[in-house]
Amino acid sequence: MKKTLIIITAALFIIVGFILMSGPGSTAEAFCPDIFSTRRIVIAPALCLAGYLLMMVGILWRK
Amino acid sequence: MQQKVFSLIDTLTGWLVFVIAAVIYCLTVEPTASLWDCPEFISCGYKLEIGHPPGAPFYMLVANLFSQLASDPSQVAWMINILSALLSAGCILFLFWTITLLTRHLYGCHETYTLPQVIVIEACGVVGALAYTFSDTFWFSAVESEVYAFSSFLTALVFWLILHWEEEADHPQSDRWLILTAYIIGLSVGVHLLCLLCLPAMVLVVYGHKTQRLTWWSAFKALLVGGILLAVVLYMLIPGVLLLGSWMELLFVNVMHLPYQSGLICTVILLFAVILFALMKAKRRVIKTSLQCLFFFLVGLSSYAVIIIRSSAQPPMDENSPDHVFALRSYMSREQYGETPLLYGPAYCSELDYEPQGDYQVAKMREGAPIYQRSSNPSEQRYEVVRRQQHYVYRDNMWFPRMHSQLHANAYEQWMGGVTKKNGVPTISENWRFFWSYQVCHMYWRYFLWNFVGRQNNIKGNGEVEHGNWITGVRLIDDILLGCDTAHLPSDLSSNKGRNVYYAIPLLMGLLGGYWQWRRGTRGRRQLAVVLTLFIMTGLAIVVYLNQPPQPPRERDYVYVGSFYAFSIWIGMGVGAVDAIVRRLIRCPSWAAAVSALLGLLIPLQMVSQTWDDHDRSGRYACRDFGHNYLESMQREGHPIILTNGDNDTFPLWYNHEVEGQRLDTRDCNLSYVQTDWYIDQMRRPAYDSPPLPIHWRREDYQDGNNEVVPIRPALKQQVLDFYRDEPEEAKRKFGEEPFELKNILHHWVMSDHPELKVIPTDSVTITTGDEQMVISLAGRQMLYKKDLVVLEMLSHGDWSRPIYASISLGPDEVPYLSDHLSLEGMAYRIVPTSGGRRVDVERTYENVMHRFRYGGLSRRGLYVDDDILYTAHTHQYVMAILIDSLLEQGDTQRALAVADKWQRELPSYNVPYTESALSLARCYYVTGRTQEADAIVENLLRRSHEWLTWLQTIKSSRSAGSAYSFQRWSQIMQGALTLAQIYHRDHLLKDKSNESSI
Repeated sequence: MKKTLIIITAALFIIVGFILMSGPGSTAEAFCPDIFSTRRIVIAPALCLAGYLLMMVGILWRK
Repeated sequence: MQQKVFSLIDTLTGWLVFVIAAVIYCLTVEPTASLWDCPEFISCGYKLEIGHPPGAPFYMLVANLFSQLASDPSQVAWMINILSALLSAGCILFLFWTITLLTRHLYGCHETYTLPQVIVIEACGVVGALAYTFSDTFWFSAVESEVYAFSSFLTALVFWLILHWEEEADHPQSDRWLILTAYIIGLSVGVHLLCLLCLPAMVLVVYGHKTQRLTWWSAFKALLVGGILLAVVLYMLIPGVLLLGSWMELLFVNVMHLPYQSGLICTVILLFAVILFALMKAKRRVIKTSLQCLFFFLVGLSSYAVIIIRSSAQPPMDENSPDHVFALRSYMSREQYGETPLLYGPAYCSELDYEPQGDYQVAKMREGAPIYQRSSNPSEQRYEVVRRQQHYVYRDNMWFPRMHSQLHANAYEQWMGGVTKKNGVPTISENWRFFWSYQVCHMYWRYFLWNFVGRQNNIKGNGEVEHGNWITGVRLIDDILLGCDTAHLPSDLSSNKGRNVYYAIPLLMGLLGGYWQWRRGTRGRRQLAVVLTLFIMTGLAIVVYLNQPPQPPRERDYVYVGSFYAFSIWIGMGVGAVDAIVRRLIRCPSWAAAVSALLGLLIPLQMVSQTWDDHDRSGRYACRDFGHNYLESMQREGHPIILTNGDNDTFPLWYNHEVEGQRLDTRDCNLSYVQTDWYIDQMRRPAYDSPPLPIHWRREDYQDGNNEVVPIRPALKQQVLDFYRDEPEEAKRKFGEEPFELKNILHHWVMSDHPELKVIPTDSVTITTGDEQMVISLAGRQMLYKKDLVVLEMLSHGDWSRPIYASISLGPDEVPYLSDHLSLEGMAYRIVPTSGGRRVDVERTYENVMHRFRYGGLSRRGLYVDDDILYTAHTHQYVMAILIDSLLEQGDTQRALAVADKWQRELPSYNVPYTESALSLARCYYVTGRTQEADAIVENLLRRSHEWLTWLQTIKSSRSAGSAYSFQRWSQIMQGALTLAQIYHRDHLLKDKSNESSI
């Protein structure tokens, strides 16, 4: 049970990370400085990475 | 000794080796970006932008975390380099544990160990791991931000994991190790595909465990299964997921009118749901485990979402713009690099197949898959087919074509010294001769031997006697190998830091270790098969797969690190073999073990004594500063644009922009990318403070497949003139006021909707600004590529307030039509309207060289300057030489002297040896009366050219052709130095060399 819980948490981390990474982009009219905001290039990737690493813990967790 | 104690010793020794490797790598790491792809990877990690195909999303995530630890942007590169250093040390750690685990089995140790056994097992691990730590190729990628360090770490990890699984295989929960392995392999795709090559060796481990004995037949079967598994993952699983995603995306977006990405997201959800459902229904353990492996492999692969998400944000660096599943497919399958035929296909000299079409014969084409892009109309959400892939059909094909690339036709002929052909393709024996002599020996065994026998120097080699060969360090042998007298090498070569000799001892040790493993019973033979499989899959198999043509831009040894890893396992086991020998001489087993351990340790120690100096990159800021100098060569007003070309010309500029935030008002436009529509899209967007580039075309004008090449037809010129004379009104309405004004030609001809008008009807076009007229001659050219059209389009508006520069290293073939309009301002030429050949803007160049340029710490003694940095440093000297000459011409000796002193201070000869450019330096000192310094330079050039010319004459005639360039170059330098000495009456210099110059 705990094993499944860890894996689900890890998956959530990854998915939330991807969602936080998304947002509007630059266009031909204007450069969008928000594409390099803290949310999108600091917090989001850190969350994803945490999820990927946690997934290893989940896989190795004994039932 | 009990198992517990042994495990403790083994763990601690492993970490000790890790610490040694980590400390050494951290001490020698480059403090900023390195050349080649490193600046690109650093920018991608720091800001999550998109690098070259097939991308490295998982690497980006980890690098991003490390970049957050930097105190300010200038430290980001260092932190990401440290990541490589630590991962490489991690690779060493797992190599150590792999060796000790294997050796332990060879001794049949179970639960109890004797002291000599422990000593030998640990010594095997230490010697093998440290030998790999200090080997040339691995160390190279351990101290820079490349994916190879990470990929090596993952390879070592999964290889160790599978061995670890074997240990516990009978345990009910051992499957988790297999699942973890599958997960990590999935993640590794987001770093580099190399890790997948472990699969066959891993299948062999599993198979060997199940059957417990290995016959030739069972090994063959296991390898077949492993090969099929690899092919399934590489060619079916990964592309299959993407194919499914692209079908769903078409269905959802084009048919059901749902938003972009909805189909892809649904595919992912569906895929995981189906596997989970199957998992719940599955009964048998094998199927359950396989499904779990598949599930977690796909979880690992999901890191590719980073690529799509970040590409959708349209960052300034967005290579191939993979923001939808169709683009991602071509990105991940590396379509940009073209197809390499493996089994059957055309040779470089194959003729195209033609078919009649009306009165003409046209090249036969095979239509491939459709290429989808998003609709260029933003109000409409749908994918459109822009064109179908086209492949030429060749008349002559052959099996296993090794000489396939038409772009390299001359290179093949040159390497082979002429190729015999039959039926339009090289004969079978010629094909194999190339495969063996170039691909196998030159591009694989040479690198292998660099690492374990010795390396001649760090100069890129194409088979010449003086460049980058493998050597033994034993003069007698090297004389025969190279066909020259190696006792009288020119000092430039003998003092080259890339010269490393190990007298073939690591090689012999490895062979001994492999033999010893072979002789240790069934277990040993099984192990040998596994390690050998890893060795071949990560070495020779890559050689076959890459099918490389000659004259690559750089040495490719880093691709084969995996096989050097496998060989290091055998080097470690060599200690076991040595121990078996020493035991015959020393009775006491403990003493024998200790002696063999010490003997073994001498190998890595000898290796590090050779490799330290050419891997210590501390204090080196050349890549960052040279990129900075390109940007600073541009004026500060008007948001300038710089045209660049190769990797080392572009990536350092990106690094300066993206990471350090330097000169964000400028824009780099890479000419090799600007042939593509995605790059033109990016150039038409603003980036930071740089407004869009002046490319005022409709999207369909430059869309993939449109205006790729436009022919030049000067014959039409007269017709056009006649038309303007006979019907001026009609002509002006149709083709614009002035017939040969560039703007009109691009608008009314090239971008016209009538296909028959898509030509350039003249060989000379004009750009008119006010009263000024710039004339660009296209004489002698048959056609213009899209990239030329982009450059001309930007110039055609005649807006000289936004200057366009061409980087100094842009080859003469790149923009030949502009060669009359270039003005040197530092590391870049400004494109100017007035013609008059290449000229120098003395004031701007002086300002840049003296005050704005930085010189990468090259003034520091003991710095390691490799061949690529030396090249760019010499380009800086070349610019300084031109500046000195121009200043002397103006009679401005004071400023000429200031430049000369700057040169001596910033790029001193102990780091950047004098070349022909230094003649200007010497002249400057003679003119200003500082004869002593001038004499020193001339003397240096005379001495070195004498050394070179004398040595080059010892090369035996069959191999001397490759050295013709060196001979010519140093003869010219000697001639130049002698002439200078003559002009300034330096008789003593002439007298010293009078006998020698007779050469």
